Amino acid sequence: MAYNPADYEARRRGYTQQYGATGAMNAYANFLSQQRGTRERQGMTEEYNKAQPRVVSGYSRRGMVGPNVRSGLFARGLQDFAKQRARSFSEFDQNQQEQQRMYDLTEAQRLEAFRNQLADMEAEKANTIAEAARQLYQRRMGVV
Amino acid sequence: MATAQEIANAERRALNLESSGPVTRFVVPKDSGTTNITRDAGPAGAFGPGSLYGSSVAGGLSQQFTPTQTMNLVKPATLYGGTTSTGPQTTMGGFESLLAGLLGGSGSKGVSASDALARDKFNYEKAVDARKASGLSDYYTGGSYNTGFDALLKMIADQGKVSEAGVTDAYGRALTNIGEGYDVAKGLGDQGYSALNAYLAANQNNPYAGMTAQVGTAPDALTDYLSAYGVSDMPVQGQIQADRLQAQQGAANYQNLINTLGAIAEQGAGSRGAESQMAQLLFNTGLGQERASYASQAENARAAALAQLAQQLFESRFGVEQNRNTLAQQLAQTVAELTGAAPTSNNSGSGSGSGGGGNAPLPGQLVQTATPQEILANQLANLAAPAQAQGSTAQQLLDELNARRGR
Repeated sequence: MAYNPADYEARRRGYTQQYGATGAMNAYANFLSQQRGTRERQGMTEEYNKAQPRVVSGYSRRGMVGPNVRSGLFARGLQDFAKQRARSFSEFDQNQQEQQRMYDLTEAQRLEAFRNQLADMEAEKANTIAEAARQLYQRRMGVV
Repeated sequence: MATAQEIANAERRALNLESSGPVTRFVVPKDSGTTNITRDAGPAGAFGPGSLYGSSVAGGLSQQFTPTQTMNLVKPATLYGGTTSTGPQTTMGGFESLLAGLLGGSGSKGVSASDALARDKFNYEKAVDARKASGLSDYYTGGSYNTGFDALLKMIADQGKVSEAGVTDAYGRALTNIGEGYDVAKGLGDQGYSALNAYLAANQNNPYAGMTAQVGTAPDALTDYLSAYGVSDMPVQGQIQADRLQAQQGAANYQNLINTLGAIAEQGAGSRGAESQMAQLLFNTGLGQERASYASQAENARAAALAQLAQQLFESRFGVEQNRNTLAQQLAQTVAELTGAAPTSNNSGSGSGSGGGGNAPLPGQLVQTATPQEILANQLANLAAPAQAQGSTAQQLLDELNARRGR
């Protein structure tokens, strides 16, 4: 088991390049996901903004809302609209956050694996150096 | 009354000895013409036990002599270097020739040139052997032959010290290398784990820490619009609050999830820190064990090398001592063959490898006990033996010795 530092540097470069490439790909996918979520959230906002006047106008045509008119049905209907809007955004945000957490967790695990690879390689290198030192000692003593 | 000197002179005359100053000479008796030899049947006759000459022995002297037969024995002194100027009056013929031949003399004839040459050659070779024996004896008893062996032993001992120092130095270098290698390896490993710990501390892996669940803004209740128509917004506000409460509950659940994931991530980071510390501890422990193992191996190698070195030194010393012993045995054997007596084996080498000088014997070394007078007497005896066989007198022997020694 001869010690060759170049081998370990090559392995280190390979590990780092693989980790970097995979991380870049994941980061880009995460970026696309976030961008897509942002667009979706903007679309949802626009949809709900457009729906708000229609909700009021519907109750207005039925005479449930107007000057000096405030029916309970209109109030409940408007509150239901607000609750649905809040839940939609909460669920959307929650979904987006879970995706982000999964991405973060994946990246953490990838980093852990990458560091483990480097640590394993460093340990192997140290053991190789020790074994090489022992073999050098044996050669000096004429055993091998 | 006769004095002691007169008695001594009488005894010398009876033995045919004549004193002239410090030299005592044997005087050849004058030939009287006849010598009566009576066959003696007793056990102590002139020719030994009578049974040897009994009538039962075929060809014995009893068959050549009658009990009262008289023979004229000429030149008995040739045995002792005497001379006879006048011709012998042989009355026994062949017996004289036989006896003269047995005694190596010339009988009635003079010494021929070939006999003289043979005698000179014999004396020369004897002298050479005597000198060789004397030299070898001195070489042996003096312990001179130990010098080379002692030098070898000293070389072995010195080389052993050098080798041992080399082994010790190698062991020290091995330990130093082991320690330095351990320090370098430990430093490198600790540096790697320190970098890991620094990274983990700087990169706490809890991406959920800053996350909070946000609740979105409440939607518009159209309060102004409703009031313009005199309608109360109370039901709408109630609806909005209910939705908001639901959103807050969702956010709380999400926050709980984030918190749970964050706690898990923090536990993971803490586990990584503990893992790093355990790995570093394991590394240091293993490295320490390896260092101990290497040190143990070095110690074992050192012990094995020293043991092998000791074995080699022992074998080397053993070989030297073996060669020394072999040479000593050969010298002793040679000296014994030349002199007829085993030399004093009191020099067996120092055995210490010091090769020290001086005449004092080292432990285990042969000691020279032969004095110069004894060596001179030995040489004189070597010279006298062949000369006596040739009939030389003591004075001639001494003269010959002095002549050889250049005096």
